[in-house]
Amino acid sequence: MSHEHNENKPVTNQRFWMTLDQKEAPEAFAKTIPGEFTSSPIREGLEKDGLDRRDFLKVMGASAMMASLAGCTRRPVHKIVPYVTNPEEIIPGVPNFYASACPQTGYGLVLRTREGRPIKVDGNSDHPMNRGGLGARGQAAVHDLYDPDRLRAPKIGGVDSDWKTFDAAVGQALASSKGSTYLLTSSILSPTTLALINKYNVKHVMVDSIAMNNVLDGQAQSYGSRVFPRFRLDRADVIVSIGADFLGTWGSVVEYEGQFSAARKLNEKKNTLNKLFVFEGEMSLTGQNADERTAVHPADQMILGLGLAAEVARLTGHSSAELSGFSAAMAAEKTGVPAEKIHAAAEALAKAKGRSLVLADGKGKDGVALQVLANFMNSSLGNEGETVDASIAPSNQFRGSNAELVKLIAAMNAGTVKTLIIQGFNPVYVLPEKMGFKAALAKVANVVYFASHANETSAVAKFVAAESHSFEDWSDVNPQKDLYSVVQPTIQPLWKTKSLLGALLDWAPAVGVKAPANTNDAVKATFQELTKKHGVSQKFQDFWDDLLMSGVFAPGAKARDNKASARSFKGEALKAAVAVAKTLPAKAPFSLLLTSSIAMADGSQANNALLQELPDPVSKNVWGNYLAVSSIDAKAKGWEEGDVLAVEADGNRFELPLYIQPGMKAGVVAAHLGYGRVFNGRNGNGVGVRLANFLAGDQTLVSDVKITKTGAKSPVACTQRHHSLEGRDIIFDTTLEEYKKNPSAGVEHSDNEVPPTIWSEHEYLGYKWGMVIDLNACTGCSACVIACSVENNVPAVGKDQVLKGREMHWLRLDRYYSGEAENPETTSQAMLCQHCDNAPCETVCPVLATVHSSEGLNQMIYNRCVGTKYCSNNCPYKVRRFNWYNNNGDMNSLMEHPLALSKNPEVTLRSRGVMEKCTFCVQRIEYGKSEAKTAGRRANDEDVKTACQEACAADAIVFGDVNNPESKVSKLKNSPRGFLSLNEVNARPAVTYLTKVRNRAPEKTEKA
Amino acid sequence: MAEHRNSQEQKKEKKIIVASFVLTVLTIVAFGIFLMPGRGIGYSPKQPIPFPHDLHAGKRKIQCLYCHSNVDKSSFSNIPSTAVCMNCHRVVKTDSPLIQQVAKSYETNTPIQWVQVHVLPDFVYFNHQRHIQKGVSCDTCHGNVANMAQVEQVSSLSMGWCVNCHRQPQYQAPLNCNTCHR
Repeated sequence: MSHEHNENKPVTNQRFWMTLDQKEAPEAFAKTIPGEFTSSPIREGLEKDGLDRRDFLKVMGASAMMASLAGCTRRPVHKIVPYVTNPEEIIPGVPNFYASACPQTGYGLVLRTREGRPIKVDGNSDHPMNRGGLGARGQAAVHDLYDPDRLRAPKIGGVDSDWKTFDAAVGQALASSKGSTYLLTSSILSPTTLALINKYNVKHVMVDSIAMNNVLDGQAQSYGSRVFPRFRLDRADVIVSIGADFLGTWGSVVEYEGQFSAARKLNEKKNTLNKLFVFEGEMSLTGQNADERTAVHPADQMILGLGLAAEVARLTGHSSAELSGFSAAMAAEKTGVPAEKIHAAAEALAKAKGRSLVLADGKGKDGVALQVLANFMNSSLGNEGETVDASIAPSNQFRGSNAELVKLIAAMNAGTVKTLIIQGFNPVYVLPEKMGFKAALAKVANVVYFASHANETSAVAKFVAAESHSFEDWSDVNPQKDLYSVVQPTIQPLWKTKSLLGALLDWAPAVGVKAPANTNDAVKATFQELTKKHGVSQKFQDFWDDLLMSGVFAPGAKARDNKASARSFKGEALKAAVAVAKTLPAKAPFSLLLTSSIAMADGSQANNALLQELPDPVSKNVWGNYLAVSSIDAKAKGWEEGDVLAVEADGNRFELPLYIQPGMKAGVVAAHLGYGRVFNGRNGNGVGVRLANFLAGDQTLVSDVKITKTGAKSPVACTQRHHSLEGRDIIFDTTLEEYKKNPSAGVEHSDNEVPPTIWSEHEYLGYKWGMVIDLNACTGCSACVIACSVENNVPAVGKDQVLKGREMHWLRLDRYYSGEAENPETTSQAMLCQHCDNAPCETVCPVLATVHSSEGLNQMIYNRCVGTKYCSNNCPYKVRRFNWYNNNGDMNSLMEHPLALSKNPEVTLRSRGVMEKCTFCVQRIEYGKSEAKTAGRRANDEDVKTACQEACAADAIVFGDVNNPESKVSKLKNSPRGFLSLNEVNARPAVTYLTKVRNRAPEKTEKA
Repeated sequence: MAEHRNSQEQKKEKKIIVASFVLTVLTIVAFGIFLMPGRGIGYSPKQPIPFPHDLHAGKRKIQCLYCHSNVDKSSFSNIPSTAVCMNCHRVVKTDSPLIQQVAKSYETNTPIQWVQVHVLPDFVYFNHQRHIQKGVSCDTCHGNVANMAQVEQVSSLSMGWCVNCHRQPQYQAPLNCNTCHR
């Protein structure tokens, strides 16, 4: 393999590609990559902060002169304000950690606070569900807390009020509408809140913004009870997903990710992998992680499911009359999916009886029917009780019911709803207009709405209760049977806000309900009950103290790994499902599929700039939604990327710019929900387009849409176009079969040979920090990107700047495709500063602002940097980021309150004109080293963890001291799968990657 | 890269080059003065309530760590909370009008806003804990506070001053930039 790449000519025979145009026209693509330093604020007009370069120079010159004349005789006065009485647990400068839980998902959290303010949130490693992992939205939650646009006081009729008046008015409304009070919420996981609602004797309707109705209803039809099972991916050797994006937005994602990725690890003792088959229409994160991905039209999922079910039934001996008319061949003929793909999936499933899992998510009218098919397959395969647990620890995370919502709207229209309390849900935004919710709301006398921002629903609610963030009040969660956590506040409410639980407690006297005085008492009372119920012998105060520390009460912990009882599948459900298949509409030329994105989900965190600027794990687009179209359709229609297309169906219309998404099924276009918010949010208001009106009940598929080109152009901000690596070999992959023959398979630089160097070698006598990233465990979920930004005060810069290639992420997830454009394979690679031993950046810095440390860190010293950008120019990994602006606000004035509180005080805020990059979280290293030194020992794996490592639910990032033979990282460094990225430039990075190993036949890896 | 630029842009850039030159000269002069040794030495701001260290630490021989109790536990050396003052002043000199100011802070839960004497730039992360645990005494950097009626800065706190000690082989102190800059 030749390493003599001509720098001016992109290599055309490379196997990995980033975007479609790179694959098809690499030379043209090279020209579209924004030059890293060719852009200049001078040529692009005025500065963002209203000061152009000349004014800036004048002011600077003048101030320098003044400074020299004044001779520094006066210095600014710094105040230092101690506590009046120091709280027992606070030592200024030392972080505190509190165990808490996420009220929406029930995952265990650990919050890090400094001087009483939470600055970082991570997963609780003792929690059996998320096991230390936390997704991108959870990681970003700290910034929601300090969002300056939050409601700061309750409002009555649009006018600011105070809680005394508000509580009295709502209390009166509640008292006068006994029997006609309704409560509409998202799924509530808090047993305390649920018990209190029960006492209120109101009608309670739960709706999930990202609906799981189909699963619940499918379970009810198949087994008789409406329950969301605990899917156990840790036990599944073969997983088949028909449209279910379980690594992205479907179900208990972080839990699944941890379980899935654990099975993707390979080492000397374990040389087996699970195998994931995905059949889907759009390209999802799950599809990206598939071993065998097949594009299938979402409207054909049911037929495909029937074909697969028939094969599975045949292979497991469960053949039934209902399925007699179906087969793989028949499904293949109708869907265009090759029959051997269906056979392969069915055979793999049948071979792994009891150790396989079928997950499905029907997008159209077949939603429930497809669930029934999946249940049938799981039952036939003996997965019930093994990988599908509905008895030991079924989930409580999804309890919403669309049917109940429809009934509520009918009641509202009939005038039988006098008071409606809404919480955790933004119905006017989330629900399609044709459901008539907004119109029905006008017929309700008293609407009480809990909101964090003045938004779509608050605009039409009489009473707007300013809602506390979950870090501000007590609550509890019960996400799975026999699994409880306390939601522990870590800060006093910043504003005059209340939680639902707090407000219900305060309103209780008005409706004659006896309730504890405050949320803390209420939660304690719940756990007192629970300890009695589960026979905890400990004294309650001790139990409570332990609980606050561990964060988890799991009376069912021992039984969690037992085999659950297998429910029997109801045959008539299958019959009904097969009947549904016959009623499905015929395929139109174009169908629209509405999907949820990892960053935005239901849109409730739209004002979080970090999430808006989080590159979508699949498309790598930021700031707004786009229309994902297959390359086949784009070519046939002559559409180009950035063309604004109009999509119409049933009188609804929207316009979105086009993005060509490899892997899309022809005839399907897809777009993300969660955008197009209209609310008081400086970052999220009006970003993207609202698509909720295209939803119909649980259906996310609009089977027939008309698409026209408007002629307008609107750029899609895609970060994967930036930082082109010029076709060098940056990642390696292989297949399981090849890996078994040779664990180093796929790694093309021979045996990690070290080329000669002109530099003298570094000597590391103490610590030597290093990292290993397992490409096979990484799913690309992007939680690490947000974790890094929160920990290191990395700012979001906005769409305009991203389009110029100026995003600031210290850690990016590169997404590489290989194979054919219609159905490529994907590899995600976390790319961060590699802390090279022969760092190319260090040798070119004229002011020694970036130098090597004695512990192997490539140090960046901001106050020395003069902004030549030579370092970035010389970096082969393109991980250095230049501050084109004062991204943390004007340096001469204070940041708007309370934004400053969200910053990590251990990391310098960088100002305009300096370079920055990943530091390996040096503040954590220094802290860990200091703690270890105080304890009189060497820092170990537990003392020092980087933010990205802590966030990773897949455990794909391992960081530590390479000089310590006992550390995890030093053991992994020698893995035969290990390789150094861009070894040929001989920078000797401190980050080792482990090859991606795909569990499929090896033929496909042939070089193009 | 041969790129077309119009004359206006060229003029603009020329002006900027001139401006940059002037700026550079001015900056060098300004920073030259700014960086002269001894900067900050002698800084002794008036405090809202005069606190005589010479009386407390000198005459009464109260240990530094009695009030600055976290200096060995945290990178940051704490200024004592009012409650710590009140440990003694509940009974000592309660008739003094200054002590009554302290008592008022305690009773009204209003912190006293002291004026910081030893100020480091935001990009410097000094760690008290490590120095104390190493056995560096407070007066090495802060001078003989026990003699000061009003605390005064006696060390320049410049990087050169820090590194002077860190360079001494007998201390085995780290010299990595990241030790202080991050």
